[in-house]
Amino acid sequence: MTELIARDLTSAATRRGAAAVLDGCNLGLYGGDLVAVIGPNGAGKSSLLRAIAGQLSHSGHVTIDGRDARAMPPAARARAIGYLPQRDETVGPVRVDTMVGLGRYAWGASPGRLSPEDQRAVDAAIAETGCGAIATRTIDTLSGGERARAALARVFAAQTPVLLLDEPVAALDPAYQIASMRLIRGRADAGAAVLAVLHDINLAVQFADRILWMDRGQIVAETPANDTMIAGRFRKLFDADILTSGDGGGRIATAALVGR
Amino acid sequence: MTLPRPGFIAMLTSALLVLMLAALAIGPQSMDAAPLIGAVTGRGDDASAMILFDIRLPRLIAAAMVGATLGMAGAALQGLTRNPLAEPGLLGVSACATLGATLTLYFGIAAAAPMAVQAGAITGALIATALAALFARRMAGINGLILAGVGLSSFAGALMALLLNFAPNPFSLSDMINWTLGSVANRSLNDCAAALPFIAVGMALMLSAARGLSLLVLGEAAAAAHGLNLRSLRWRVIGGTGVAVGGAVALAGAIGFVGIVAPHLVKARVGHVMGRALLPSALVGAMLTVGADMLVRLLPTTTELKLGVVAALFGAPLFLYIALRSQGDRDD
Repeated sequence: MTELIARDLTSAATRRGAAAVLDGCNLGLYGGDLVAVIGPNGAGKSSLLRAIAGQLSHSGHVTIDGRDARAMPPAARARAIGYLPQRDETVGPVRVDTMVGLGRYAWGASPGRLSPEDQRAVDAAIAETGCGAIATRTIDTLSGGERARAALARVFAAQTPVLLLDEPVAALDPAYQIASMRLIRGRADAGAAVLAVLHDINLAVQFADRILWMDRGQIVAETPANDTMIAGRFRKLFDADILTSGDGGGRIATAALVGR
Repeated sequence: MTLPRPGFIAMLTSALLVLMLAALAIGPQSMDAAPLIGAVTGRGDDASAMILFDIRLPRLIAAAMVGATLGMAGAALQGLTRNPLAEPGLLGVSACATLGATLTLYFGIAAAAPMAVQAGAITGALIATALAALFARRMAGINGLILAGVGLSSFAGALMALLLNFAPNPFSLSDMINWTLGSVANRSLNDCAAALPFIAVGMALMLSAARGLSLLVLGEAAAAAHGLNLRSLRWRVIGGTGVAVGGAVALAGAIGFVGIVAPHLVKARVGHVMGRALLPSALVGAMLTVGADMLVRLLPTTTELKLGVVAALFGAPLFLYIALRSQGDRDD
């Protein structure tokens, strides 16, 4: 089973002397886990993912199954950790299937040159994310929801045991949010270790196993996603209330934001 | 219908070969098949052989080499900057190479030492490349590279103006102006051979970055997440561009817009993935310069029209068209 351990992640202060964005974060992520990261804007959620993905210079250590991630060559690291940035920045009218194929780069694939194994991974990711109907369309003709699914397909095609997803369902309508969260849950159930930044506490409660609560660059708490304590935790971080409904067994089933 | 890539490249190669054969046959002294074959097989008359091997062939090879370099460099830079308007001029490489060549003319080194112009152009290109890379490292991201290029180009342009301003005599002024206009007239096979190593090494560097350039269509963050070594890619593209364009400017002076137009013409056929556009852009770039040089030779002007001028006359409006269209894409 995959095991990703991050110890004491502290981002290097920027040149202008700003405060550190990450301040001593520790976490363990295991195969089968879907862990939600929740915290206010500027809490360091994206930075945490970028540091683990190797895109933010930091002190501290990240190990994957005991191997030091920083010592891994870029391609080996990319075969172990999949990372979906917050925004899809693909330029130009690139076809969806071409874009998903780029997800196989770390295996030596390039556009027009996919091995049978690469092709199988691409086809599976396209089918899994329901992108079959849009596979031959170009990115610039897609709706926001379709585009997000295509990006997810690209990350899935890499078949990494670890997935870091930065707001994978932001800006999606409710139906797409639920559909995408089901896909992500499915990946965890299939054995992937998933860390996802979410803004919707209700989605976290329904789909995640655990919640990492972040504030000011630190992981201030880690709770089971359906723990009754989350309402208090939420109020503390956001100064806002949620209304929870129980599952009848002393656990939380849903959570809804209430205006003050 | 998109042709598979080998078919597309074969088609472009055949078209280029046909165009090159036409360029050999067509000129003020037109040659049909008989003297052409005679000259090639060594059984023709001396005049035909001289026209073919000493005048037309070197000029043709120079035009093709320069166009191929600019086309490939344009595609590589467009892939790196993710900007359809990028070309060697953008990095300041062309301007600094031209400045280097002009300096050797100004100080009379060109007259005293053979190959001094070439050495000047390549030195200028390498300095520009190194400076652009240095600035780009300090200003993280690709916008830093573009801004550094704009600054370098402007500064090189200012120094050029200064040299022209203080030109010691009308001959040297006309020499320098000729260089900035860009031409492949009166080149020898030796000139081509001197530029070849730089162009070959530069192109090899760019081609080694092809796979990474394709991935970069996703953006820097996603590309790095899929295993792209961004630093290595930047060095290969910037270094390759600098060395190859230095060689090209040494051969023909400043020729603009080929680097923008060639990739623009091929990228729809390769799925808008720039790593796959490198070779096709080189072939189309060669066709553009060979074609433009044919036009230069055939137009009945009293003073010789310069290749760089023709390239700019056709290229600049296309540049504006591409700029407006890509802006339109962004507004949608």
